[in-house]
Amino acid sequence: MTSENQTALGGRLVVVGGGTAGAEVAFASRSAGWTGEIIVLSDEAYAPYHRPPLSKDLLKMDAVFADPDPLKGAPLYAKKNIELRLDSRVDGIDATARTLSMNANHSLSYDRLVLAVGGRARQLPLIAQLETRPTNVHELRTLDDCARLRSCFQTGRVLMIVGAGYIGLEVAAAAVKAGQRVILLEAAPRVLARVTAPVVSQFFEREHAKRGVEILTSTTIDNLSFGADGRVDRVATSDGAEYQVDNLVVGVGLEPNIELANDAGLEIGNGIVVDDSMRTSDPNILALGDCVDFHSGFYDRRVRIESVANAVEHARRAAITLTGGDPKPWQVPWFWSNQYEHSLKIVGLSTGYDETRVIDDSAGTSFAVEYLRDGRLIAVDAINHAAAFQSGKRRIVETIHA
Amino acid sequence: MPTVTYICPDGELEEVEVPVGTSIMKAAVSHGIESIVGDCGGSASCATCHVYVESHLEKLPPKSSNEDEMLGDAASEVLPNSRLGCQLVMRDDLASLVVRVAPEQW
Repeated sequence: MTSENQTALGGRLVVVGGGTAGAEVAFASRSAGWTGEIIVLSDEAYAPYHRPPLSKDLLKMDAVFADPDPLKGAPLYAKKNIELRLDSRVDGIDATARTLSMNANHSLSYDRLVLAVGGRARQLPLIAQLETRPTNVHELRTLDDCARLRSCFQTGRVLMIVGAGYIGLEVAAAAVKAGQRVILLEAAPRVLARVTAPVVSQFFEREHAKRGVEILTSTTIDNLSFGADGRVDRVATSDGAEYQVDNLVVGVGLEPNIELANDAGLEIGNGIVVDDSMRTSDPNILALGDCVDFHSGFYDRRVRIESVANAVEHARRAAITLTGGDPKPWQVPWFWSNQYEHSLKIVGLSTGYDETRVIDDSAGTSFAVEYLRDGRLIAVDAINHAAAFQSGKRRIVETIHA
Repeated sequence: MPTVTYICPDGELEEVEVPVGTSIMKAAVSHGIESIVGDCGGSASCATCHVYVESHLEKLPPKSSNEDEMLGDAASEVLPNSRLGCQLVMRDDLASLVVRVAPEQW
C-alpha cells in the first residue's frame, strides 16, 4: 500500500448518488478498509433502495404503496459508520480545492470523491419544449415516479407507453394486469430492436399481444393535444391514427448525468470517462455505474452499461482502488427482465453480432439465443432458461479470452 | 418470531429473527450479514445468496428449475443441500433453521 493510500484511508470519502452504485461503494469501501468518514449524498428522500422492482413488482401491487425495498438495512448505516444525507443535491465540484457545494449554500470538503450519479430519463422533444410538464406524462427512474404512475392505474383507463425497451415492456405487463388499456408505441420495426435478435422480439410481442397490449411498431408520435388542465388528452401517431389517452409513459432511454463532472473539468465521452480502476481524469475523483464510459476488456471497446450488475461490480472495483489491493477479474455484463411469468436473462453485449443460434426451442417458451461474432460467442439471451444463461457466462469468458 | 442461525464463512454464528414471509436472504442483508450478498434483490437472477442448509432440509419446498440452474454456476461448490437464500421464505415450521453461508458469492 502506498503512503498516499494510508493517509487517504483515514480521510473523508464522499459519495454523490444514492442508487445501487453509491450505496454499494460506501459499504464495499468500509469492508475493504476505509477507516475515515464515509458520507453518501442522495437527492432523494429515501435511503438507497432496489430499483428493478419499480417497473415490475411495485407497479403490480394491489395494496397501498409500500416502503421501498432498501439495499441495506437501516441499522447498517450506523453499524458501519456510514453517514447518509438525504435530500442533498450537489450543485458543483471544485476539484482543485476538493470541495463540493450542496443545496445551494452548503460546502463539503473531501479527500476522495465518488460520482455515482446515474442518469435521467430521456425526454421526448414534444414534451421537453413545453413550459410546464403535463402531470399525466410519466417516466420511471425513482420510487416517487413509480408511486405517481401507480396512483393513476384504474381499470379501463388508457395508458400509452412510448418506447418498447425493457422499461416499456415491463410497464406494459404490469399495467395491462392492472386493467389498463395499453398502447405501446415503438419507433423501430420491432420491440427490443436495439438489444435483441428478431426471434426474441417476436416472443415478447406475442406474449404482450396475447394479454391485450396493442403494439404499434415503426410508429412515432406526430402531435399531442392538451386539455384545459394542461394534461395530454389526445395523441396523433405517425400511422394517421389518433388516441384518447389518460396517461403517457416515456421509456426511451437514459441520459447519463455528466453535468457535474463536466463542470468540474473531468473528461467526458459517452458518460464520465474512467480507467480500469474507476478513476476519472482527476485521480481524487472516481465515477461508476450507469454514468460512466469505460473500456470493456471483453469487447475491447468503450462502453456505458446500465445495469445493477455493472453498478455493483464498478462499486467493488472502486472500493479496491480506494483502499489498495487487487480487484477481481471483470465479469461479463449481465442483465435481467421479468414480464408476466417469463424470466429473461441476458449475458454479454450482442452489439455487432454476425450470426445467431437458437438453442432448445422445443416448447417455444424456454429457449436461448446465442450471438456470435467471427464464430465467437459474445452474448446469450435466455428466456426461462437459466442454464443457458449460466453456461453462456462461462463460455463467453472462455471464448473471448481464448 | 422464528429465528435463523447463519454460520458465516469466518465461523461466526449469527442468530436473526426472520418474520414469516421474509426470505432468509433479505433478513441476512437487513441484519448486515455481509457474507450473503443478494445483488439482484431476490429474483433468483444472480446466485449471490448461496447457502448450505444444515437443518429442516426435508421440510423445504423443492427447488424450481430456475433456482437449480442458477446454482449451477454459483461461485462456491454446489452441494446437495445448496439453496439460494432468496428462495427460502420463512414459515412457522422452518423456525430455528440453520444455514451455512457459502464462502464465495461472486
